[in-house]
Amino acid sequence: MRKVIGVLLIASFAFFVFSLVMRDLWAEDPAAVRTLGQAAIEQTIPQSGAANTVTAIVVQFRGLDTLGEVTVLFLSALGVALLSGEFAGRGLKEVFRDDGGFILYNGARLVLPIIVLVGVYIVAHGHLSPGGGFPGGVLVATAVYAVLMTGVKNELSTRLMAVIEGFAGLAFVGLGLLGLLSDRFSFLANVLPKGSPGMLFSAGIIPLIYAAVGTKVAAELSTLVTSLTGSDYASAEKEAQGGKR
Amino acid sequence: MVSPMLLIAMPLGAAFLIVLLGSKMAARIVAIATVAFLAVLAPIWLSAAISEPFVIVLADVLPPLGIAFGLDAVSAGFALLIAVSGLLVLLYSFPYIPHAGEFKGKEKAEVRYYAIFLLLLAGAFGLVMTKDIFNLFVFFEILCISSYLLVAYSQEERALEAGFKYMVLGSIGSAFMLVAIGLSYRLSGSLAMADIAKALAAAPNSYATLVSVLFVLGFGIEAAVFPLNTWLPDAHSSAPSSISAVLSGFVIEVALVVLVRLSLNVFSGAMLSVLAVLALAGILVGEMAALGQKELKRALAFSSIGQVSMMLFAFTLGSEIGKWAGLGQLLMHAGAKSALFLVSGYFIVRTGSHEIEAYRGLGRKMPAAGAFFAIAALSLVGMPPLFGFFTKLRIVEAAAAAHSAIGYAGIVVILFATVIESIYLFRIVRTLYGANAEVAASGAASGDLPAFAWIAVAGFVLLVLVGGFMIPSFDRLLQPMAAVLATI
Repeated sequence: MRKVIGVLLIASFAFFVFSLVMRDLWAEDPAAVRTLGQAAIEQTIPQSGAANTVTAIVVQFRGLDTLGEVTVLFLSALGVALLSGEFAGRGLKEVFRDDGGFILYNGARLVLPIIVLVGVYIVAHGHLSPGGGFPGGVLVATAVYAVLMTGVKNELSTRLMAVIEGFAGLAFVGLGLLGLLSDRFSFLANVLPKGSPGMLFSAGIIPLIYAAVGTKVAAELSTLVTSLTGSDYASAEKEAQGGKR
Repeated sequence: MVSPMLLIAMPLGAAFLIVLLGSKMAARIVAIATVAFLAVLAPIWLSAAISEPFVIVLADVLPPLGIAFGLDAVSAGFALLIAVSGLLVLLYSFPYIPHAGEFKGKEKAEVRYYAIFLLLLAGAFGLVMTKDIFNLFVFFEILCISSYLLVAYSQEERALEAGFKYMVLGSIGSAFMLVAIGLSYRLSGSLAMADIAKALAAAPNSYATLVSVLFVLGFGIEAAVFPLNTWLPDAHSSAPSSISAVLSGFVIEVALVVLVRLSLNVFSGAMLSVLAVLALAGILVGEMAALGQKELKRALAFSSIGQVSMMLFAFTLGSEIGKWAGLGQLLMHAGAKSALFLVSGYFIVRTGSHEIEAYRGLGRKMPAAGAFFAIAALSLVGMPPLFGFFTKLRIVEAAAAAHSAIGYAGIVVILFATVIESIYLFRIVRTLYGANAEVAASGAASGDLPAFAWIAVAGFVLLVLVGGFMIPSFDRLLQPMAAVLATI
């Protein structure tokens, strides 16, 4: 009965939506959106000095949103670390005990430096080519996953990761405050010299912000998987025991 | 003057710093220093924003390309409320949080508690300051995710369940919101609220209605609008009491005011009459449900539903006096409900039970806690000469002045709700001071509130105690806020 009512409700809502907006949705072209897109393309070089318009929008024009998204990821990682206390040690740890066999073991070692290198490249060229801090950071973190899957004990210190994470976050906020302290008096303003567009050293604070984001994402995702596989708790327990002795 | 951007930058930076330092002592010092600094600056920003709102240009790029941001009377008033409540609750957390739950790795968890708490404040500050609808979504997510985590902090089964339920509903809400944002962006080609308001006003009526419905469905979950608030009683009653105080004290209210402000000014009031009816239903359902609760914090959580619906009703009256009354009720509720939750936290710590019946006679054993609880409860009912009497009276006045059917219905509902409120709150207070040889003799209830908790609760109780006598000075703040609430 409840299912029937649910289906009826969804169907009537869908009917409502379609009858109301179908004409409006497909009848006209969203010209207004195109105007803003044109403005963004035109403003990219003068405002940000970045060769990549998407990066200019993400890191500068809507920089506060990006800071917010970085915070959302930070929160999620904190949450996993916070709530995995009981779960660690019995959850995914069993899955990661297996060494995955010869091919995975040696293959992971082989591709590890390449993955990290590509990740760093993508972060460093975020203001020039597609990519940037988020995908690059994720790539670097996958290198950690690859090693974890081979059953090697995770030697990453969660404390060190937390320091890197906190430092990268502070760097983002600090770069933002730089704009506030300058004569522009505007949070996240691009106050550093912009250089010539298309060069590696250009676009002012954008590459620096992406470096901070990349580092942060990499550290966070590594911590995330470390918490889930239980190494975090195991190391904490070891520390506690060491303290007692 | 110092830029109000610090309201966002400082808590964010402090949260990162806490994780970097990683020690409990450092976390406490950084958190309290940051929030105290903001609480000192907030009144200065408020008085400046009342005379002239701050327009904040972010990243040196003007909207629509950049993000529209600013601090007007409403956001500055809320910034003050959030900063002061946050400061008091942080003080309370110092002695209280070690009692919240038993699980592995508590030391580390406590460091994370302060980091997440600061992020919650940053999310709340951002939510009231932003004038950009997508930026609103980002801060909304920060606020919601930190609430989910803090609700589940104690890792007891009920807390984890409540946190999960809250998260599922919140995520559904976010999805609805995102669709509403997408539809508005498509229409206006801008994410600035002012542009969207103009575009929606010119668009076919059905478009504005759809966007408005989707937005209310999404945001209403966090603002606890009546049928969307099923997560609230579980979340508020299972969270650590410091977090219940924050959630009931300002988190729902912040979401509510943003919802009202957008409904009034951006979505051309399409949903106002619906919201008014939902508000009345919420008052009735919340208070009736509170009447039947055996657990103290659950009763308080249901009472929050009723109270928040009362504010929503006042806001939907449409008149300036209505908004004024709603803001007054909001301020009183922030004081009274925070105090009630904070005190009930120590009732639970001292007796180890959530049930009201277990607190029989506790008021004599914990005289300060009992007195604080009684005063806050009386103010919530609306007992003169406490603050609650004046705020509730003003809502009734505003409803009468509206001369509409819904206004008169509102008076009936509010007066009826007051009767119910007085039944269950008086009953709790009576239980607290009832005779119970067992509690009096047992060692379970040892000691009153610790010093920091005492200061925090006293701060909130002071507001409801003297609020009634300070109505004229509060009005000098609330009136410009009410006027600004009717603009973007």
